[in-house]
Amino acid sequence: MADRKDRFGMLGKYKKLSIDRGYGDPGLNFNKEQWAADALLESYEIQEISAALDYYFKVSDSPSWKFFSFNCDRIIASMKAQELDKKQREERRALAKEWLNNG
Amino acid sequence: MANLESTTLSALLNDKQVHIMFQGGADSVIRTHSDVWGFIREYAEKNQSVPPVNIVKQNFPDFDYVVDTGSTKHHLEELKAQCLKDNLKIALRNAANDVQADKSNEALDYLITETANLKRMTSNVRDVDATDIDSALAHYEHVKEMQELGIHGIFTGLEGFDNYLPAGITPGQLGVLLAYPAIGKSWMSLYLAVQAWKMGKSPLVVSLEMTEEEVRNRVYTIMGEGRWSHRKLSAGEVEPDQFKDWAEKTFEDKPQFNIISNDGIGEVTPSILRGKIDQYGPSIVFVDYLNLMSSNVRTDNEVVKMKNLSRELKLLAISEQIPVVAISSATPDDVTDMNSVPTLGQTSWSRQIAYDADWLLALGRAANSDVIEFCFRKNRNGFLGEFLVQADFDSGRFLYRDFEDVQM
Repeated sequence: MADRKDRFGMLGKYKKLSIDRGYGDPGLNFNKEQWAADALLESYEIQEISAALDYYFKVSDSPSWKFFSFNCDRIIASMKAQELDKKQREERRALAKEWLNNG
Repeated sequence: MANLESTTLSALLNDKQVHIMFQGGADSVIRTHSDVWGFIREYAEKNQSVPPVNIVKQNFPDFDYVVDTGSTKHHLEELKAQCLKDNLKIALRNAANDVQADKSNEALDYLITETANLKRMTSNVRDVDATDIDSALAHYEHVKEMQELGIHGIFTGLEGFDNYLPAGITPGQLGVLLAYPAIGKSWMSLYLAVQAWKMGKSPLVVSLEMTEEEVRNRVYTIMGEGRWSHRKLSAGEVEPDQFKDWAEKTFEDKPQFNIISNDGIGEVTPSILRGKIDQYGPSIVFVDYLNLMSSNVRTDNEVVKMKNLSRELKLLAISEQIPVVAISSATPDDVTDMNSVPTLGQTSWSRQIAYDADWLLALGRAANSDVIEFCFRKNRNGFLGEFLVQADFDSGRFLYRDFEDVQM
């Protein structure tokens, strides 16, 4: 079982992001939802879930804790794919510049 | 008495040139003797040789073998000519029946589809020997001459785009613009069309999403380079004399710029497009957008439709020796960052278009940004480069920007 501090910390971050991004207080029952948070913490590192939360609030028009906790694997996969694409594109941009300068 | 088909097959049994039959598309022209041809083909595929006459005769006692024949190539060409004549007669007769029954639109659609099929049937596979240096040098000389005359590749005036497609958009190419909704795909394709037109090329824009008048407003906006407001043109707020004066100067000695759209009911297929190409003789074709087009082979399955369509457009580009630029939408899911540039895997319905395309340029734009990111996700003729364009859709101005100039 994950630390209580981590479980509640994750829910707290969700609530903070929801309020900061203008979606209001999600009204989460921390005592109930901590078990969903625990399942996520059993599967992923806390830093990874934290990054996924940031990404989710960036891409979703109507975020919900239920969706996040049920689809965290897809969200992480999408986030990683985007990070990889960004990295590859940066590398290609550098190569392209070299290619054009030599050209 | 031996007919053309039995003579052709006899010629094949005599000179054993089975590759001529494979290359010449014998499958589509042999009809009455398809069982005999099927047997010979299967035998040749299994044994790498043409069966002896006695084996064929054993299996097909009715086969009318001719001892004295010309070459397979000669008889196959005769057979293809005969087949073309027969099929053309049937097509014309059926179309005439439709016309007599007051079904002129159906007759036209039927004729366009049938003639496109016949053209495909009578086309040959093109081949080249890579070790033939003279042929290669002659080709490069020809390309260079065409480039010097400005009649080969089409350049866009956008530094990034032209850098990464060094020969421009060349005949036979299938290009794809891919983006999520409301990024600026249609605007960009029209910008490319206008640039081609300014270079003396004649574009054909197939718009299945907007009416021809809406497209024309956008075209005028881009041609005007800031002179016209798209918003005002759309509202009809234009001074007629001023517009006429501008148009006369702008269109003087310039080629045609054709825009076609459907009436919202009829279907536009690659066969119909081929008919339009024959009618207008454009230098480049833009299809806006792919998902609204129908394939020549009707199907209710959207994935199959897109696969067929992709292949048909590629073949159209090759056979007509014309570049075709198609717009395709990208499909985001509920965890996709819509501010990003889509990848090949996000092509809607089928990735076949990405496989068939010579180049695929993906567009992305952050919310409320006027800077469009362009990223070549596929490029058979250059580098997978990227560039930015600052777009002002109301004044129709598109300015190239380097990544270093813009803080992303």
